[in-house]
Amino acid sequence: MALLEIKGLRGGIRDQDIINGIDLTINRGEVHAIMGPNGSGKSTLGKILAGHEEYAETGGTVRFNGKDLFELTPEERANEGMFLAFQYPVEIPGVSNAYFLRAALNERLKYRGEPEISAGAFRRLLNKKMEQVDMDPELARRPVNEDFSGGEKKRNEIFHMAVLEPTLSILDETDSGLDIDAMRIVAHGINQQRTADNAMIVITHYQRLLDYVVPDYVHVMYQGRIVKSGMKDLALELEEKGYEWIREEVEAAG
Amino acid sequence: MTEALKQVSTDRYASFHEAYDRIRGREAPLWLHRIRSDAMKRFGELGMPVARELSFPLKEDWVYTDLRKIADTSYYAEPVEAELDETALAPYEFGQNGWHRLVFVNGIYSSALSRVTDLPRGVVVSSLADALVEHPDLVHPHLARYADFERTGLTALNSALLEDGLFVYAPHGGILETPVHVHYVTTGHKTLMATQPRTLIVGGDGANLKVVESYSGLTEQSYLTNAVTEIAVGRDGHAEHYRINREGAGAAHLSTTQLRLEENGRISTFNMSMGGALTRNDTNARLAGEHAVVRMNGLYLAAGDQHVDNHTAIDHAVPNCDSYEVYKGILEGRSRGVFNGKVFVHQDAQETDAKQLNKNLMLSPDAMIHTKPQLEIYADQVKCTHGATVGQLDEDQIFYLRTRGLSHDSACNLLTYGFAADLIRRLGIDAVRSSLDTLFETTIRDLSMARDQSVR
Ligand SMILES: Nc1ncnc2c1ncn2[C@@H]1O[C@H](COP(=O)(O)OP(=O)(O)OP(=O)(O)O)[C@@H](O)[C@H]1O
Ligand SMILES: [Mg+2]
Repeated sequence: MALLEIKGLRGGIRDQDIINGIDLTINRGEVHAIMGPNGSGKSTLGKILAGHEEYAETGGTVRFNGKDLFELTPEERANEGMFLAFQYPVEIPGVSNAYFLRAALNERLKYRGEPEISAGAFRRLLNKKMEQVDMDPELARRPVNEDFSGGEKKRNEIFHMAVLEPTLSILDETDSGLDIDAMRIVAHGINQQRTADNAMIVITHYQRLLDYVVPDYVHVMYQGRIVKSGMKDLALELEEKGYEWIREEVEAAG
Repeated sequence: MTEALKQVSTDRYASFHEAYDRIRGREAPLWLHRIRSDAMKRFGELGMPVARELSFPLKEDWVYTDLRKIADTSYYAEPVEAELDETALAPYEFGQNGWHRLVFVNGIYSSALSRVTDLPRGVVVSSLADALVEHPDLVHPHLARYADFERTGLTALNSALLEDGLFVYAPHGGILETPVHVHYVTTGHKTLMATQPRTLIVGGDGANLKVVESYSGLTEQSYLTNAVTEIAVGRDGHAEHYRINREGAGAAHLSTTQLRLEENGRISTFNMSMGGALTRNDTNARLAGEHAVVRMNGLYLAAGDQHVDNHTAIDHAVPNCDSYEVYKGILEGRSRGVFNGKVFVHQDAQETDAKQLNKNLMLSPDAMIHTKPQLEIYADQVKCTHGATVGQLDEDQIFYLRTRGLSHDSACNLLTYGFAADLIRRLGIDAVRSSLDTLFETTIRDLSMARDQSVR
């Protein structure tokens, strides 16, 4: 059974569709890159999948883990194993990263009917994960994303992902705003979490991330649709030629 | 005031007059008799501050908090004996075992529930009634010297009926490492009880004191607490003061806290209000010596029909003093909040640094807040800033937390916690910090449970 199965998905804000019919099947163990020009609907797809209340699906179906995704609240989706790394991570003043992650982890354990994690076990887990994604322990103590630099926020998303161990991660431009070293570290962190059991959707504008996190498939989104899919070479081709030829192809197809 | 009105107001406060007559009949030093009789006389003139009966400028202080119902209630003003054991107090316990603790039940000192352990030389921690017998020379120069009963009816009432409360004294250089916790408890043994707790905290030059003052109600019934606290430290003196209001659901909690600082003195006070049907705190500081620093912080949480009013006043009387004030409010249900922050900078109080901030988080569309800075600055070389915000929980923040698996309610609770957590995190004493942190978290959870129930 596919981990995620999107069929004919449409949706957007209020009375305006931004996603105009998407079909996408993702199996465990796969990494799918989604590329496409600004404003093509990549982040909107992520938000609809994660359940943002401002966005609504207007057609199609999505099954996640065999369940009807739209029957699930955002937190149920998360606790079923979905994770959205935000293009613009949100600041949560006054709540330390570590405190928050423990709360999130416990919600997950509760959802699965497992006992809460002890303080000691959590500390050990946190230390292990900080090491894995090369996270500054100071950032784990500070309030979530508050006054973090742009790059630190992105790294924090990967840190959250490492702690929560999702089965489906949607990484929305996690590479943008990172310096060259940070990009390598983040890519390493992502790769560390790649297993045969989980899958990732990597939204990016740059081939560079895909040099490290090598995708199984590359999709191009344009005007709320996936207009082209291919293997990893497609990303190289886009890097070289830009999106103009895609536009032309779409228009030619009418 | 017309004669007719005066007549009404005397009858209105008949039980307070009776209590006064009883107290006056007891043996006491002449100076104390004098305080009580002057205060009673003044209370006779002022009565309770009921806005519609006041004239400018007093009226201004009471526009949003209506004490009419309280003024018209005939309270039972005598102390009420009640047996309490540790288990009844357990949910309201605070701090650590080693702390000095004084417990007053319905205005009566409970020696069974209180304990004062080893004290440094010259330091006094006792009930005020005991101190009046054993150390009148220490009490006399300070009692009723800072909280002026000529100015307000509530302080006059408390001073007229003052019998007991906490007395803490540290002489020149006296350092009280172990915090003192005074616990004023009201039980449901009598309806419509009124108590007048009085707290006096005095530190000499270079003294250092830590006091937690808490008010708890073990009943849902109506009752009145009218408390006055005076805190004065000498040159280079330090005091840390925490005030926690966990009054019962039917309570009216009226309080005046008066701080006085001399040269280089430091007082930090933190006021946490969550109990009571109606709360009004007046927290005032007078910076009387140069280079003194006062920190005046507060946190108020209200739900249902609760009303919570914090009036603060900082009086920069001399140059080179700093005042830092942050008050945060969390308002749920149909609750009402009031914040009025007065900063008065005298003409020669140059180089004053005064910062004030009031932030409010509205968890319900039916809650309301009146917030007002009131800066009166007569010096020209000063730094005075103030800010007030009123906001709601942010949908993007809620969504972010939900994508990490937190339920909508947990997300709201966590954000509410985060809204004010910085105030608690900054507190000086570890044990106070962790106790308040836990209390704050539980209160937020209770607020959200109250919300869920009211929705159903
Ligand atoms: N809440 C919203 N209100 C109005 N318009 C929106 C909203 N969310 C998205 N849109 C519009 O939908 C379109 C797609 O936006 P989206 O953020 O999904 O693009 P994207 O592919 O992620 O772009 P980028 O590469 O710049 O991140 C844009 O035209 C955007 O302006
Ligand atoms: Mg985007």
